[in-house]
Amino acid sequence: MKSTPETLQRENALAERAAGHWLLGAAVVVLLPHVPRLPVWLSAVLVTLFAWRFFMLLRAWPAPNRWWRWTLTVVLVFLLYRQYGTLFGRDAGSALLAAMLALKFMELQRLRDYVLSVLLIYFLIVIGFLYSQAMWLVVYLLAVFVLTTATLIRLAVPGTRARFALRLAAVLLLQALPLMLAMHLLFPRLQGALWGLPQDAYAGLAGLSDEMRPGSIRELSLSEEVAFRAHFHATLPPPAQRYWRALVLWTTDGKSWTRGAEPRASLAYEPLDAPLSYLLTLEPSNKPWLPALDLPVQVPSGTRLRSGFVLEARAPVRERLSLELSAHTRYRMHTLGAAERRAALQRPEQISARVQALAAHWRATAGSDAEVVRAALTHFRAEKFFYTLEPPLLGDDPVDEFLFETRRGFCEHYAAAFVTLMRSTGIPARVVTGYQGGEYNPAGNYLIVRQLDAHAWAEVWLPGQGWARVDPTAAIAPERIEYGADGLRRLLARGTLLGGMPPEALRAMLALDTFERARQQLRLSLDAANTAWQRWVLGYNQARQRELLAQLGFEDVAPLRLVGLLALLVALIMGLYVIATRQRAPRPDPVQRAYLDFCRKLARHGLLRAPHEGALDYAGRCARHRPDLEIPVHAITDLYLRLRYGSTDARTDTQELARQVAQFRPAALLSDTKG
Amino acid sequence: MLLGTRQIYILPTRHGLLFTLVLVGLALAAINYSNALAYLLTFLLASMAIVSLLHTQRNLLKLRISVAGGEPVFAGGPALFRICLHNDSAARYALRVESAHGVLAPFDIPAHDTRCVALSVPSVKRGWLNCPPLTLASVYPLGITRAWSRRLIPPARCLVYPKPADDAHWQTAAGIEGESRPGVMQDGEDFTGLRAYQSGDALARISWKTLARGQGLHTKEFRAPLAESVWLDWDAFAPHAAEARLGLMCRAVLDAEDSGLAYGLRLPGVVLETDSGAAHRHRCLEALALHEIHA
Repeated sequence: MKSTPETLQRENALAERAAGHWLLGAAVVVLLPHVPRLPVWLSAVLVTLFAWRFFMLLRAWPAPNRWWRWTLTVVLVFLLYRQYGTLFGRDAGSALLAAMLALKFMELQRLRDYVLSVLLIYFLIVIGFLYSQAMWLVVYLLAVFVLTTATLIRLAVPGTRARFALRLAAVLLLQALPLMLAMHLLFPRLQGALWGLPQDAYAGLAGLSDEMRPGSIRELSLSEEVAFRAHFHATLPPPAQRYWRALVLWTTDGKSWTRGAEPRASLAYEPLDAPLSYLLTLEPSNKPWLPALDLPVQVPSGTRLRSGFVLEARAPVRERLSLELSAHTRYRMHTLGAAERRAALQRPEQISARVQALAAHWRATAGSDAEVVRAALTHFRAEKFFYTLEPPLLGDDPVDEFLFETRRGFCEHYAAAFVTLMRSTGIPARVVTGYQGGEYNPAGNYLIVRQLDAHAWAEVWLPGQGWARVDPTAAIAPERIEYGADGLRRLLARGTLLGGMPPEALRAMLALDTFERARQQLRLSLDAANTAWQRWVLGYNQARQRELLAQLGFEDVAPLRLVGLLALLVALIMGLYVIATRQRAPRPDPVQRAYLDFCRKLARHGLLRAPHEGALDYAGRCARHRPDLEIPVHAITDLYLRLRYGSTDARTDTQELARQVAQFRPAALLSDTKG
Repeated sequence: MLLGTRQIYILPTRHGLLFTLVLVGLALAAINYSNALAYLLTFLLASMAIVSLLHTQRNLLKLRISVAGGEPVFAGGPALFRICLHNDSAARYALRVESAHGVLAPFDIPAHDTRCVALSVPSVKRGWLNCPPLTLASVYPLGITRAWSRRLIPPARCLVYPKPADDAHWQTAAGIEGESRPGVMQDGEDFTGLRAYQSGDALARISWKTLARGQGLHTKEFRAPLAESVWLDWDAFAPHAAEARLGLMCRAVLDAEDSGLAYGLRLPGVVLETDSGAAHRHRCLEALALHEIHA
């Protein structure tokens, strides 16, 4: 068809009436989550243009003329280029799309312009997910998606009611879900990016550092961010065994601890229990270390075992990572290599006389290494040492200052002091950092370990036993281990002095009231849902896909065959839909059946009812042609019409109609038989 | 006519191609950022497009179509065809009836209901006008796919009367002015007598009967009001070509009916006795319309 100005105007008026407000609404809601990221000047431009569009709809404001539109477009593109240095990629791309959408609103003329705007909105929805995959955003953008689809429906089917368009959009969405699931599971996943990822994608991730200074772990103790989750396939380890080892620190300069020159250590050990298997799901930390329970049995691909039995990924963890692991929590080791012993006895250049004297005293009084360790722990317990989240600042010789002056510290203070003392008595010792504890989520049978569970402790070599864990913090504050870092923090926040309270009183203080318990349950349920979401949706990648296909009996499927398989599945689902929704010719109801019988009887006498002929017209025609049938024809037609359109006692009248039709036997006329 | 699966075709529209282009763009973004939700939404859009194919097809499937020709029209006027769509199942939306004579405004049909629309087709010549081939189409629900039916050729036709001669022809044909009409023989109780023909007498007043009896040309004289019964005779319009003659006779029928006269029609092979009223008028016009048309 030719598009004359009149037809164009009519097309625009039709589209605008059908979806003008809807389109504007969808554009505004899709851009809301983007606004905080866009440059302020662009947000101002967007608000202005959208407001203009609003008044175009409401007060019939004129659209800016072509000259203005072109100028505005060129200026905006130039400014965007200046702002981002490019027009491609996530940030510049989304800003450009937003600007294009607003500019398109200034020149909506044809149906195609409207449809294009709808497609731009779909694009912006997807770009929203490139910034955040939070669940609330998913719910929000899904609502936007339905609104946008309803807008498309209103454009295609002008004059539909709002409720109808929204319901149809929701129906389409629900019917699309099985197909979407099939595509999600089977669409070949590629590893790696097609073009560059944003440089700042991984900034701001929290995690353990490979250097321990007084205060470095305390920084994490305020973060409730999840570090990892562990799904146990059978039993959970008891709280006292929940030590997640991430780093073994060998070297100290008196102030800080690092891995230093790691000794080549023997990896031989004798397990004393059955392995405990679990699925570890790490949140991105931008660090390679993998906190695992004591002695990992296997080393999954992409990871390696470092000296001191700690697992490390070959690259920093930048995406959620799931690992199937198992661990021995009880074990024995027999030989300590020379290099390992040397590293485990390394001491800072200067150790104060007081520290050396204390160590010498323990060495002299104790009979064995194990007794020295016990003496040290007794010392921490007996003397006035405190566990606190706000330790005083320490100077040049933190170990000496802590042991003899301040005596208030956090786990890293105790671990550092303890290992220094042990090394001074000649016992090989090392600092281990990682996480301790974790919150059990019964909703999904897994432990949630947060950054605030970060912990530091010590390991000493005891002859006949091997490396043994010693947690000096547990000696000062057993509550830390029993109630977890979070429970301890809550106790401290209430001003409880640790050490003086009976356990029942502590437990009573930690007990949650009904409201808190409900909140905790809600939080845990949400976390369980979120975890399943992470596992099956967000974390679904090439590896998981291969795993799933292997479970289904498809090993190593080539991408092309995968596409074939997907097409097959899509066809199958569509076939099911066709069968499920096949339109059966509806069985006529008794009234209709009787009337059709009546029509058939008349048709035998040459009075065929035309498809477009109403019941009354038909009756009139029959009566004209067959005056002898006038009375029964009108009686039956009247009854039929009353049943169809009138208010009548349906049951008795229906029977009456059936009876009359049954008795209706038009006599054959002479002309009938001839014709 | 019932639309089965074999009578319905589906293809993406131009908007559908645009939609596909956007899908490709989204898939590239999802792959590049290996973003699970971007993947999911792309899949969701693609799935929705696939599912909408079914809806598009089902919007036309099992529709019954019946077409009836409308009231007869005069050649040159618009012939109306009444197209009825019978829906024996769930509601249908935005159906468009397309023909060589344009596209009718889209309309909906509620569940188990019938909707009729009128298609106007310009008539050119007298006789039967067959309903033009129709196509039923719809872009429901998203506008990205279009389903359309095979060309439907409905067995419906509309009668087209000859175009009545216009005033100019009418008068030239008569060769005279005034109220008199060519070929109209008035015949009634008000007849007063015959007189010898004088040049200039109205053709209408020539006594054809006496002429036919070989008694020479006579002109009839009447007493007002005029007689109420006339005969329209094919042969009386002899000097004109056949189509023009039919046009003149058509005009004569209309005028006679309008003036409340009883009129009869004499065509080769057809004689309709004098009568009046809508049904008679129709019979006469039909005879004129179908003159020498065999169908």
